[in-house]
Amino acid sequence: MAEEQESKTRVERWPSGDADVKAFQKAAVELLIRFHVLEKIAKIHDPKNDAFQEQGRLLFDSLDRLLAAEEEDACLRIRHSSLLLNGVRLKFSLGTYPIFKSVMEEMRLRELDAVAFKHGLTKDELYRFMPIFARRDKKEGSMYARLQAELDAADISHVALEKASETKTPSNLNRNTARIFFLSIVHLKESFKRNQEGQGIKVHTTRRLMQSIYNHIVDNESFVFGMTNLKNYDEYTLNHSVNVCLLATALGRRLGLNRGELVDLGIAAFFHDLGKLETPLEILNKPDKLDADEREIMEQHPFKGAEKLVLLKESRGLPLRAIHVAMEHHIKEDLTGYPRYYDKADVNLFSKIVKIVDFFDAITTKRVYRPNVFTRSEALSLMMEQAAAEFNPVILKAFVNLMGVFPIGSLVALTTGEIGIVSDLNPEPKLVLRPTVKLITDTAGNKIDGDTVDLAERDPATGRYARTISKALNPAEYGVEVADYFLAQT
Amino acid sequence: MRPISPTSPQDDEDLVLTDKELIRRAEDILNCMANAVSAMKLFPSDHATVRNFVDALSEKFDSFFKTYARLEVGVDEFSFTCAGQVVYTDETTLKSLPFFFFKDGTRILYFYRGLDRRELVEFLELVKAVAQKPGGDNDIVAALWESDFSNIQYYAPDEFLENQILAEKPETQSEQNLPELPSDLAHETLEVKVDLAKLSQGRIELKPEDQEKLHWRPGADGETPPAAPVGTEPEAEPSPSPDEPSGAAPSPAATADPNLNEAEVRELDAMIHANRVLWPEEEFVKMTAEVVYLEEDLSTCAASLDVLLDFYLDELRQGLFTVAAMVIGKVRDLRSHLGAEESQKQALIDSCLKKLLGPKALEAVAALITTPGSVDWTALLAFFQLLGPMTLPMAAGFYEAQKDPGVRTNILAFIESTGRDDPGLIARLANDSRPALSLEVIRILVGLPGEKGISHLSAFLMFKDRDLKLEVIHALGSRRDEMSNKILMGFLNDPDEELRIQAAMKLNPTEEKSRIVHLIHEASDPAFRKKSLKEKQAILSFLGRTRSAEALAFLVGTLGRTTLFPSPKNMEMRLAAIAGLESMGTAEASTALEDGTRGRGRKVREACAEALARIGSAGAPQG
Repeated sequence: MAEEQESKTRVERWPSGDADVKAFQKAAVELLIRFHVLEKIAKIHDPKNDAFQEQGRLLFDSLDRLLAAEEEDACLRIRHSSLLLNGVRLKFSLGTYPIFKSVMEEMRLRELDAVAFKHGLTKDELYRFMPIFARRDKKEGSMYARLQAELDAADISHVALEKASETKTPSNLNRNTARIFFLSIVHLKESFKRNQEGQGIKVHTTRRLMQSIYNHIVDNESFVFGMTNLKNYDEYTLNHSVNVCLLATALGRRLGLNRGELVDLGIAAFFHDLGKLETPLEILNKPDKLDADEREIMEQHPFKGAEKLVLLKESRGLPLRAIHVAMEHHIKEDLTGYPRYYDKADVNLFSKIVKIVDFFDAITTKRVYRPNVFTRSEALSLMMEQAAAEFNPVILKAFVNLMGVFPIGSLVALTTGEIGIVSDLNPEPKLVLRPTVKLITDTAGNKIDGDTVDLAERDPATGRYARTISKALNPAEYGVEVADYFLAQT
Repeated sequence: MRPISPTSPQDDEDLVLTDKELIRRAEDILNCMANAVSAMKLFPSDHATVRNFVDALSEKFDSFFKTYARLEVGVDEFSFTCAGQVVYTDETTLKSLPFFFFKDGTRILYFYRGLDRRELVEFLELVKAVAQKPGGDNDIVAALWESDFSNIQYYAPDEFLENQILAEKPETQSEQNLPELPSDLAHETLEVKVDLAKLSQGRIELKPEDQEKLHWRPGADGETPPAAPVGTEPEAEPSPSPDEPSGAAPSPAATADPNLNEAEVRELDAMIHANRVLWPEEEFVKMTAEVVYLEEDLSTCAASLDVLLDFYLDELRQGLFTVAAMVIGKVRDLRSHLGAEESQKQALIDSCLKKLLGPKALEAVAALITTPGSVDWTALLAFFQLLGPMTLPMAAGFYEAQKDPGVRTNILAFIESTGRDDPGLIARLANDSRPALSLEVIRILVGLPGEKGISHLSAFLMFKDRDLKLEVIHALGSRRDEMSNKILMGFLNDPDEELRIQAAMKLNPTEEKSRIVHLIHEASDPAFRKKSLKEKQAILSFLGRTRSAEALAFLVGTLGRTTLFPSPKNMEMRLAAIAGLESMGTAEASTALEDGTRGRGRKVREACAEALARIGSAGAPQG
């Protein structure tokens, strides 16, 4: 009976109704933001600083409120790429994603699974804890052990750390991500072939593949973006469809779609160009501009793709939105484009997402009919200029946010004379111009297998940024195969 | 606070002890879990056996997590392991819990502190549900992924998926007209090779136009940096000094504030919400219709329409009548959008509509109604409206079968509205095996304006059900038209005497001479004498009610007909004639009755006197 009561009480104390859940999420995310902000400030200011004091007070107040409402300690935990507060998974939004990512990275760096703030925590303890936590010494040995030792030495008893437990992960994450990329091409090729032969698509395998893609995006997003720089591998349509699938899933995740939706979106993006099986190769690969008849045939591929999906016996197992996306990915935001509906007067959300990433990947890919290709940055600019009529402006903005000023895979010239390839974005919105860059030449232009440098790092002696991007370059003009540099990491 | 780790060894001896304890507890938990799953497969979730196992398992986990933060379970083909030791084995493939996880690629399961009973039950229910699914749908890894438990994780390496995908490739690459796989994909394992040497050999020489754009080159004097772009202000740091290398202006697109404002967030939320509340069946039908509209090849159009038909029948078999109705509406709408130049496509759609509204639809519904479960009657009847009169017999059957008054009312309303323009359709629904409905059919037919429905009541002449025929007789008797009389006349030949009597009593006076003559002729027939007195009276009363000269003559003649010897049948005829004259109530009839009071036969005389008295008390005779 007592156990039942305890169990009941425990359940009831947790967020139960929708309103409770929302309120808890809001309070939890606020706490996370405060933690993140104070951690950043603690990196550069001591606790006596006004900014530190102000943010410290806000964090303490958030913690205090939470501890007052809960019997348990306030425990922030990483669980397989999610952040949990007192066992409740926190949901990020488009605006808070960088903060989530940053906090998780900081905890992982310190080999932590959890940080718990206990009842009885004082402001003084918190103010002493944060600088210790924020410090990132590049010393030998376990960061966790050093951190714990410093906490013990500082007599901070109301903050507890939990060391990260080892979970089985692939030995070479990049290699596995690359394998999934190529497997996707194999699977899509096989699916196309089966469709041509009148057989069904292996929906179950496709679904598992999308789940795996999602996992890789969560665990290795930057590398996944790097892989989408691979173009024209095997048949264009296959490579392109896989790129679109990856980008769409990543974008959908940022927009806040849930897991089930993301798998559906991935499948829809995967098969969005299925209709091209009906388009003669000589039209697909024509080096010159298409004439009116050829254009008409080309513009049939969306509805042909939708038709194929309708006719598939497994269409019930395929997400409905796959049909939408196949049909609508060339319909513009103002409902022009092709094909023209006779009745339907809207475009599905997934179609809007795929349209954007489809366009982006297409115009950044060299084709026989398009010898001059846009760089990723140029593509984003062009898309922003065409936003209103062509694309949904909100989703496009989110996509630009996702890709960054210098998208991963951008070839950039640095102020040092070095040339590099952007390998990761800076999660700090204010440091969007300072991504992480893999150096591929020295200052004299000699190709090297250079370090990966963080452009946000400052020269300790001068306090100035060591390197800055001076210009984005067009890889095609320099014969640089960007994807090779990512594949080299596998 | 001492940090928590999965095990808390202090030294080697403790390590051994702790490992043994860990293994013992893991064994205990996994045995209990297997029992719980087995029980759940056999019994409903609220069964005492299931509850007991689940309670026990929950307690074991709670106890475990007091000491350990995590339970890591290795998954082998037929066994679970913990810390390298086998802790559970079951080699019976069909029911083996380890195999159930192993077959889909799971290699490790993690249960974390924080796992409560609720989440545990969800997990067990998921295992049960997935185990019961057929073939390709029973993938526990896919299900675990979708469920996304907070405190239960798994490790399923991609190799499993890789093997699955590679196994689906053709045995050889010699398929016709298809390009070969690149050599590095043709192997069983995917090995991606990049020439690393190539990446670090040679030079990249910047073009003059790209070099010009550099704001800083090694050895150059510093330049005044341009202002940072809007939305990309650097951190609050000392401003870059004049000789600080500056960045080039970023792309125009990226200088816009990348963060969504409140209105944009709301718009995004609204789009996501709208996507979530789409009616998938409707969307599927809409999309298929659009596909058919766009397709020029007729055979492909036909194939798409067949898909729609199959979908429609599937929905019907599940009782989803609203969806089925929507399909019909959508196809009709599509048809209306086709121009005259698309006559062949129009014909295809017409053919499809015929099938949608054809017997197969009714078969699907009939099969559904025979299976237990609730039916959305409102939706069903709305669907029947679309199919039209062909559904009336089925609706009639439903009426008899259903006892719910509300349902019956709705079905009746449907029958009435559908058959309003053709009452024969309604009439045909009545038969002896549907007494309840037949009563209502009578009511409906009688209630139709004019004489539209009356003629169809003649069908009841052939019925066996006495009550139904009586009902018809009463209904007809309340009317004053020739058609009603005609049908009532038909009931005069009914095998049931009471019905004949009632019909005669309900007959209304008529000016139809032929009917009177016919009746007089029948009454004159010797066979008429065999009828009972009551029946004779009823019929001759009707003749009297006609107040015709022919009737008067017949009745007077019959009253006055005497026989040498007493004849009960003749007596009855004379008594019946008296009843007729009384009904007539005219002066001539009264005179005849007065004459009768002085005629032969005491009974006759008394009857005439009584009749006269009744006429007198009813009012002065009509002249």
